[in-house]
Amino acid sequence: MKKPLVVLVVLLGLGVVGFAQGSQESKQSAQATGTPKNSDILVVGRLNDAAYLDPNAPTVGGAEVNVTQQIYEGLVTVSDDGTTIIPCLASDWTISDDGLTYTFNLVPGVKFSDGTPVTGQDWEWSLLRARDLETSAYRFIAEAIQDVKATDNQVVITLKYPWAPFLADLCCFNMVVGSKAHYDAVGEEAYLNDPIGTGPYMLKEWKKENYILLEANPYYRVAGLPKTKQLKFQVISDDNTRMMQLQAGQVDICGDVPFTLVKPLESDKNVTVQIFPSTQIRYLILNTTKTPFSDQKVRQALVHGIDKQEISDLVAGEFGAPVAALVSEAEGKWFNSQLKVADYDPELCKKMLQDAGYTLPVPFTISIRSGSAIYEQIATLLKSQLDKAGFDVTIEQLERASISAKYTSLSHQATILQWIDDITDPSGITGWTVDYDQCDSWYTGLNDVALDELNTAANREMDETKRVQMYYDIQQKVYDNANVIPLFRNGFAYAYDKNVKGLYVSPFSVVFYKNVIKNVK
Amino acid sequence: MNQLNYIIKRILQIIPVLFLTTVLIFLMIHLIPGDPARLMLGEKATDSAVAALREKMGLNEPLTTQYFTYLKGLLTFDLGTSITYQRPVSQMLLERIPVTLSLTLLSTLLSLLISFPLGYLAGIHKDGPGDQIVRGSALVAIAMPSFWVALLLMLLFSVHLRWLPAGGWGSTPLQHLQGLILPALTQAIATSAILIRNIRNSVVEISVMDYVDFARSKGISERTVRDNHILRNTLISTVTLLSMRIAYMLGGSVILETIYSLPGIGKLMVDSIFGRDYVVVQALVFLFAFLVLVINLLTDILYSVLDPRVRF
Repeated sequence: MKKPLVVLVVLLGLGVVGFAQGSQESKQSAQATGTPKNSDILVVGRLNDAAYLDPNAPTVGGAEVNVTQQIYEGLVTVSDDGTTIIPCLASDWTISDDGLTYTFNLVPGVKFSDGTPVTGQDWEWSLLRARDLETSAYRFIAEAIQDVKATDNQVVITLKYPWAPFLADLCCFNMVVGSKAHYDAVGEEAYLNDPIGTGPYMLKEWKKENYILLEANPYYRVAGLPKTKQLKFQVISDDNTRMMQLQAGQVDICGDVPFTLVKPLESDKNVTVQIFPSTQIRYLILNTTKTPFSDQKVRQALVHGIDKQEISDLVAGEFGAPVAALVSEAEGKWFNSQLKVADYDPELCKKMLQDAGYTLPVPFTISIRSGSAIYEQIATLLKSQLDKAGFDVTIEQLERASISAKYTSLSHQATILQWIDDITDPSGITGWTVDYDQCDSWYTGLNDVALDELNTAANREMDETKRVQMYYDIQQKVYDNANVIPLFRNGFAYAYDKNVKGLYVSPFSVVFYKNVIKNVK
Repeated sequence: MNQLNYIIKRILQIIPVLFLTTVLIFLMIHLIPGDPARLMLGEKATDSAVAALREKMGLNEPLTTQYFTYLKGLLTFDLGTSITYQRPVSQMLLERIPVTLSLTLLSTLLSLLISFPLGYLAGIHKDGPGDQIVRGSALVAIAMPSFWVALLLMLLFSVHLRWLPAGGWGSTPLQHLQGLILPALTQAIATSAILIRNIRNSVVEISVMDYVDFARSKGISERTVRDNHILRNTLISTVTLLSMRIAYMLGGSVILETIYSLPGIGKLMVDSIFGRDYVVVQALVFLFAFLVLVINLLTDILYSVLDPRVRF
């Protein structure tokens, strides 16, 4: 009995001493050298692992995109603030007068991370695959493409119809060039997990559900980049643990910091907290195929029963703000700033319901995804506010698959969802909200044909001034329809080691790490 | 009935229980609403893509066919392919079981290391100041939820002292050990608190038994009396409690592995439930059920070793 216990105590002691010794050595090494030096590795702590590393895979979300964007590149990209389209693998481009032909001149000498040159065939295959791959979650981004013809120096894309957001669509994470030869060698299944691109990093090791390790691409077209040799995405499923690992120096950067943890982190002198502008907005979605929200008067009354300021303050604190317009303020010129948040007036809400012939209270159920603290918080606040405004709200919590099945079959009454733009253009959110064929007008079941046609026309209008006005009109109409009610916007909260420099998060929740360094003295 | 017959009988009893478990698991997973194919492809996927994936996954087959496919897979350790990670489930389990078993083993050893000396001394010195402190501390430890203890330990040992990592598994054996210490300590604190109270009460009860007085009256040294007559008899009830706690700790790994970010089967269970990765959930629930049954069987066998009076 005694021997195993002694062995156990010795092992535990070794563990503690080993870890403490490691920390001490890193401190001493930094003090001994004294000269500024960059760390060879950046560790990013995040909640989930990627499902695949192909941007045209069946599952693509933040966990996937933030890795694939380091590995793949497209013809164009967006500026750091997300408002301007800038060259990437295309040095310049022209658009034909009829808006149907886009001609891109390529940056010469670009190679994949395996050292093979990028060819015209790679471009043709990549862009047509983005359009045609049946299981791709984002093939709709490329659906306007009629054909792609490319040489090693030029890519010519013809469209089926004029499509104003096309340049913005080309900035999307799935409109990138991959190696056809590599795909042919490994096959479809393996390709999903085995990326080879032209980006600053390449995949070195993927320990699924644990970490993804990227290494600098030795053939990257820009000398001196990336500035850090290795990039590790470490999965840490619990928010509190993630933040403590940051404070303990185990990880360098954490995104998706819960707003409730921002203040405690700000008081840590070794951690920097930064809020980046985002296109993230939370919405209340009302099903117009079911009572009581089949009646527009009820929907419009409900708007006055919601105190968006209170919801924003309590959920996102100083990092949020109530919103009235469908399109995010971070989209710049496309945002309709003329729309104002409706006054919170529960008595007016009650009166409007009674005028519409309803007996108070009007019952309805908000179905939300379980396990999300933010959604639970929003639903609780909505219930508290709307119960005072003539409604009788029940909150129903369902796990992810069940809630998805519920609203995709339009069997809910109301739910809470969010949106983050993928591209620097409003066509994503407006299409999702008013195009009945896409998703029953964002699971509201409202088939407003005139609005749908206006959206289609806006997508094909090449005169930008006219187009901006059309999107203003769309936002006004959604505001009046009150089937999708924007609640509040919030920034992206990131916390990182104070020695990390050069971090920038786009309004689309994408981070490009090629310029990020960690100074270790 | 001799011991071997008893063990064989117990093993045979496990089979129908496991069979029933497979039926329950399969029905629970398949009858709740929600389409795994839709969930996997995301909301922006077309209906045709969802239909194609349903066909590929065999979800269009009758439930009975799907059940027998599942059962056949279990018997051949072909547990299917994870929907989320597109990897063989058997391979994922083989990678993860060592993490959870290491955590459970270390937790058990730490629990014994903490609880036996404290519980025994508290019992021997009944109602003394040491006994009061140990009993009070155990009560406090029982009242503390594991996730809270975990956060406190990480704050102290990782953020402030920087002695141990705040979760994570690392990539070397030493890092694995470092990563296990705090979660094992978290488990051990809760388990020790329960064991301490049990050991202390057993020692108090056994110390006044006639056979203990008789042993003392024969002139046997106090140490021998304590080791052979008191401690050994204390072990019997402790083993029962410990086996229940080990089963509980396996279940508790679901929470602790998530908090400490350990890639064990507990964390996999949480991820798979939320991702509706029913292939993995089926395999894991079965595995947990199997492990609990095995622990119960081993406990029953251990009784006969500890207590010669136990016959089958």
